[in-house]
Amino acid sequence: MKKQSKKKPLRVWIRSRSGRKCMMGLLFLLPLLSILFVFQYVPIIQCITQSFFQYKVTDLPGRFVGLDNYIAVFSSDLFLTYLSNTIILYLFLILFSFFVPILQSLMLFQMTKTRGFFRYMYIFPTGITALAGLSIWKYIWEPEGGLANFITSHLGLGTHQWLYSEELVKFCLRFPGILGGGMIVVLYLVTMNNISNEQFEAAKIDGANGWQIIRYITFPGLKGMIYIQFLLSLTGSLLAFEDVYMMTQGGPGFSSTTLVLGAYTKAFKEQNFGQAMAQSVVILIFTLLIAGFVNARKSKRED
Amino acid sequence: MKKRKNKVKLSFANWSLKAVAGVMTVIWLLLLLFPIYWMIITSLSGTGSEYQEKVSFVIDVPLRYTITVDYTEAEAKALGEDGMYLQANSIIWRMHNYQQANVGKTEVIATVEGKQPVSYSLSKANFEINQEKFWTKNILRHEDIQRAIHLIEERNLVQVKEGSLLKEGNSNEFTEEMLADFLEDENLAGTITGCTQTKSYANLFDNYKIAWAYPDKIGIEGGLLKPIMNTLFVAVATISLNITISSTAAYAISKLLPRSLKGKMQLLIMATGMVPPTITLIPKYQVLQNLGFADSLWAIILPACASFGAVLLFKGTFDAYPNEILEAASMDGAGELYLYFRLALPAAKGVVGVQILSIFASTWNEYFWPSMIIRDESKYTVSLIINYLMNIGSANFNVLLALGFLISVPTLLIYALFQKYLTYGIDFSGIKG
Repeated sequence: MKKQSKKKPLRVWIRSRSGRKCMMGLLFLLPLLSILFVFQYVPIIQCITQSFFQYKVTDLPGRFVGLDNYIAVFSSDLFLTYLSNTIILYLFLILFSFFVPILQSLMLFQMTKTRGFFRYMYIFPTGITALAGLSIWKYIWEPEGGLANFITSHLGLGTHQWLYSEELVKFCLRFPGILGGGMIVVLYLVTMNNISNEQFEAAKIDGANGWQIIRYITFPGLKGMIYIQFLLSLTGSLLAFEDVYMMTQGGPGFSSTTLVLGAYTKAFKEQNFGQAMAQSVVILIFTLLIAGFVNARKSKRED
Repeated sequence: MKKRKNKVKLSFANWSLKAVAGVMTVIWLLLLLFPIYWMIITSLSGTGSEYQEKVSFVIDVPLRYTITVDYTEAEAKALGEDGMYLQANSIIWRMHNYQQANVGKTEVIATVEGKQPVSYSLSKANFEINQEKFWTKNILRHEDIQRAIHLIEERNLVQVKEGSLLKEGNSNEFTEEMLADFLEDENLAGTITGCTQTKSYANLFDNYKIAWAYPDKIGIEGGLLKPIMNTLFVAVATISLNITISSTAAYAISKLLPRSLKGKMQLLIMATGMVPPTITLIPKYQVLQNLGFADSLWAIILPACASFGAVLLFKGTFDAYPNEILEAASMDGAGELYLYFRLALPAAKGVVGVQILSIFASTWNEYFWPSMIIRDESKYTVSLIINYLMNIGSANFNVLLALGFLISVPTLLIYALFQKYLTYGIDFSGIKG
C-alpha cells in the first residue's frame, strides 16, 4: 500500500480511498495517543530526567547532579530495610496467597454439579470495596477488642500488638491472602477447562483414580499458568504499596515500608524528588527485567 | 464466551477425592465469607471498639435504657412543659454520654405522681451525629444542655411521646444511682424511680445512619450523597471517554491504517503496558499539577481514559469483523464514521459491556490516586470518605464497617449480577494463553 502511495504525489494519495482511510485512522488514534503521551510518556521521561537532578521548586529542573541520587539511594541504610521489607512481604505473599487459589481451584474442579455455584460464591467477596476490605482486617487485628487477640488468647497464645508490632506487621499484612478466592481461581479453572478431554479419557481407560488424574494430568496442565502467575506475583509484590500504606502507612517505624512506599515518602514527606525518582527508576529496571523474563518464558511456552 | 464441556471429566473423581474436595471447598468458602459476615454483624452491633472489650459472633443488639423520673405536682407546675423538656434532655444526653455499654436509645419517662407519663427519647444516631456539633467536652452538665436546648428543639432530635408506658426489662441499678447523684449535684427537681434496659431492634441500623451523615462532620453538605455523585460522575465520564477513545483507536489500528503504520502504532501503545502505573505516580502528579488539574475530578478521569488493555479487547473484536462488509458498505458511499458507528461498534457490544462493568468497579474501588490528588472535601469520592474515617477521623469500627458495607453495595451487586462479563477478560486470555 505504501509503495503505491509513494509513486503518486501526496495530494492525489490523500484523496484516494487508502489515503483518506489513513488520515481518518490517524485522527481516530489522536485522542488515545495524546492521552498516552501526557500521562504515560511524559511522566516516565520526567521520572528518568529528574533522577539526575537535585529537585528545587524555585529553579526547575534544579541542579544537575549526575548519578549522585542513585549513589545516595544505594548507600542509604533505609534502602536495605525497604528491600528486605519488600522481600519478606513477598515471601509471606507466596506462603499465604500463592498456593491457596491453586488448591481451591483443583478442589473446585472436582465438584461437577455444584461448581457453578461455588465458583460464583468464591468471586462474590471481590465485590467488597477494596478499602472496606482493608478496614475489616484493620478491625480484626485491632489489639483492643479485635478478633485476632480474642482467638489467640483463647488458644493460650497470649495477646499481641499485631499491626503495631514491628515483628508481626508483615505477617498481618499478608495473612488475609490465606482466604483465597477471587478472579485468580477462575483463571486456574479456565486453564483446567482447556486441558483436552482425550487426556482425561485416556487416563480413565488406563484405570487411574481421581488423585492420580490430578497428579499426572490436571496439575501438569496447570503448571505453565502457575509458573506465569509466580513470576507475575514477583512484579506485583515489588510494586505493592497501596494496601500497605492504607493499613500501616509504612509503620511502625519503617518496618513495613516497601521500596515504592519509600520512594513515595521521599517525594512527599521529604520533598526529595530527585532521590525518589532515582529509586523509582531502580524499581522500574527490576520490573522490566522480570517482565522480560516472563515474556521470554511465555513465548517459549507458545512455541 | 467459552462453552463448557466438563460433563465427561466428573466421572473420574472417586469418592474419597470428592469428599475431600467437597469438605475443603465448603470450609474455605465459609472462611472466605467470614469477613463479610463479621462486617455485617459489627455494623449492626452497638458500641465503638474504644469501649468494647468483648468479641461477639452474633449481632449485639443495641439496648434501650429507660429511666422513670417522678415529679410532685408542685414541681411539675414550677417546671412547666419546657422545664420538663429541658430536664429530660439533661438526663438523656448525660446518660448517653456516660453509658459505655451498647446504647441504642435512651429514654426518660416523666410522670407526675405516677400519672400522665411523657416519654422523651434520643436515638444513638441523633446523639452521634450531633453531639460533636454542640459540645466538645466529655462530661455534660446541666448548663451545657441549657445552652444548646434551642438547637435540640429546632432539629427535633428528641422525640416526645405522651402516654407512653414503662416497658419491662432488666433493671440497671448502677445507672440509676449515677443519675440520682447527678440530679442532686445539679439541684434538679424530681426523683428517679427506676431504670430498665431492653433490646431495641428499632436502632439496629443507627450505625448506617451515622455513616450516611458522617461527611457532614468534615464539612460536606448532604451526607454521603455528594461523594456518591462525585464517584458516579467520575465513573460515567471515564466509561464514556475510555470506550470512545479506545474503540476508535482500536478501529484505526485494525481497519484504517496501512500495514506499515499499524505495527509501529501498536508498539507505541503496547509499550505503555510495560511501565507499571505505580512507578509514574509521582511524576504523573507533577504533570497534572502543572496542567492545573490538581484537586479536580478530571485528574482521576483523564489518566484512566486510555488503557492499552481496552484497546487490545476492542482490537480483537474488530480484527474478527469481516473486511468485505466494510468494503461493500464503503462502495455504497458510506463514510468512515458511518462504518465505525453503524457496523463496527455494534459488533463490539460485548466488549463495551465488559468495559462498562470493569471500569465502574475499578473507579468505585480506586483509593490511592484520588487520595493523592484530591484535597478539597467537596470533591471527595466514596473511597476517600472511608480513607478519612480510617486514617484521619476517629475510628469507630462499627460506623467504619457500616460505611464500608454501604459503599460496597453497588460493587457487590455488580459482581453478583454480571459476574460472567467480569470474568470475560480472563476467559478471553485463558483461551489465548
